[in-house]
Amino acid sequence: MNRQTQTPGKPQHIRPHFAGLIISVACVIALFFLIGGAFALGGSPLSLQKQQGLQKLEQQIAQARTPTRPKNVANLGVPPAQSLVTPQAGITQTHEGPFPASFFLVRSLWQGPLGKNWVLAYAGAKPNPDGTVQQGGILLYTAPRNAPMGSDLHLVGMFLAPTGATALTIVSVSGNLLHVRADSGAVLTFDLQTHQYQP
Amino acid sequence: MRLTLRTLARKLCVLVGVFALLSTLFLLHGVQTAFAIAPKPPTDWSFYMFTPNSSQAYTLGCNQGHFDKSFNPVVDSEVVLDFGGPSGPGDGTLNYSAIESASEQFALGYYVCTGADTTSVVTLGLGTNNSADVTYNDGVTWAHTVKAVANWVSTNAGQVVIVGANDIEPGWSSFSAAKSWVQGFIAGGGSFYLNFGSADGCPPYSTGNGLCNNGWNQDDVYYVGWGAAPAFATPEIYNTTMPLQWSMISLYGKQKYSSPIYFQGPWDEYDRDTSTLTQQQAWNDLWTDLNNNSLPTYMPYSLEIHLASW
Repeated sequence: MNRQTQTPGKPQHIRPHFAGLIISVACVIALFFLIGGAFALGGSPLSLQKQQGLQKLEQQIAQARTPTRPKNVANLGVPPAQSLVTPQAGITQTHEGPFPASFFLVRSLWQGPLGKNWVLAYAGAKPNPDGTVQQGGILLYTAPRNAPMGSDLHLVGMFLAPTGATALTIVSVSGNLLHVRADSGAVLTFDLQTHQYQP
Repeated sequence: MRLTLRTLARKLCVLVGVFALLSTLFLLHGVQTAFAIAPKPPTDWSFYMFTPNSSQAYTLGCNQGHFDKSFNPVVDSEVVLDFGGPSGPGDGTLNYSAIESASEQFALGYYVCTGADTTSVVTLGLGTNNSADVTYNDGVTWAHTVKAVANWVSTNAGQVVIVGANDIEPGWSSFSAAKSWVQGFIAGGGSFYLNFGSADGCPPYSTGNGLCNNGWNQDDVYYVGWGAAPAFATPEIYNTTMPLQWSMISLYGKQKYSSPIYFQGPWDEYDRDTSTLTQQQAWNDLWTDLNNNSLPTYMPYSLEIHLASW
């Protein structure tokens, strides 16, 4: 009686149906999460391989965090301070500078003293957005003379060769003149002081 | 019987209600994180070190140790020392002995200068690049170099994990040459390398295995950045296009191989060029572009390149 009073006008036989509906909805939701979980875990061989790789890397980090012996750095000591490497003047065949390849494509580097500065002249080319050579040129940096290699560089500028010259490579240096050869075969001279090309 | 059914239904209602509530909270949490950029971890300094110097490397490692232990709780870090490209015909020759020594001293400096902090760990990548005529043998040699340093560290220091690293850029070599390096690295026993390169020329808005610079395509960049077993990536993020390109490569991997890239974190160069994205901008842009494409935003580190020597 009391129950009937508590739910006036509501037929009792609806409740089991309602419960069944809720159970069905719950099942759908559970299935949704089950599938989602399986998808999230990923099943491809590559995915599993990479997950194992990540776990292995994290294990190595965890192992490094767990010392196998007492840490006594006093015994290790700090090595005596040494002066940084003094840069050596000359030509280096290299392809990388302290800048991205999308900024300048390097073919060679000359570095040496010039006046009160240490000069770095990267020969190569300015690239197109697609990475191909747009125009040959020289990228100049300076650092204080006698400064250690860790000193920061000052960008002087990018000096593009006359139109038509492709990527440049340094051939030789005489005084403040940089002799370069373009891929096209043209030979040019670049004045490191005036920043001008001579034919 | 009727009573039992009602009791059962009532219990189920409560159960389903709790389930629904938890599900709603879970979903709401997901929605909330979908729009909030995760905070950037401390940015670690990597270095161009074209002339390896042990004393300088020790100081740099020590600096990183001081940095990591200055946090409460202390933090881990990831650093790459970029020693330049392997020698091709006419190229300058890499001094592997000097590279090993400098890397070891960086590790020792880190270990010593973390002092009483015994839990911070730096993942140190020994970096090279794929310029010029990079070869299979270069990859083998690099793996051996990494292993030699790792062995030394396990005996003489701690709190450092040594891995390989490679500034792999499409413009610097053919894909086949870069792939040869990767295969050589694997054959030489290399377990991990961090690709801190670029995806120059790759499509920023499509995933149809589009062309990148120098004849590469998205599948190629994906391979050297994630698809190869030892590959992990901390991509160069210098401008707003680069995170789009990397996001599309990750999405390409997700679609084709069911394996999106889990990036280690963005690599910026603001210290070298203030016209490029800052540490925070690089982080935000990469995180946002990944998130916008429902890709993993797991990024434990933030890295920035500096100049140690030229």
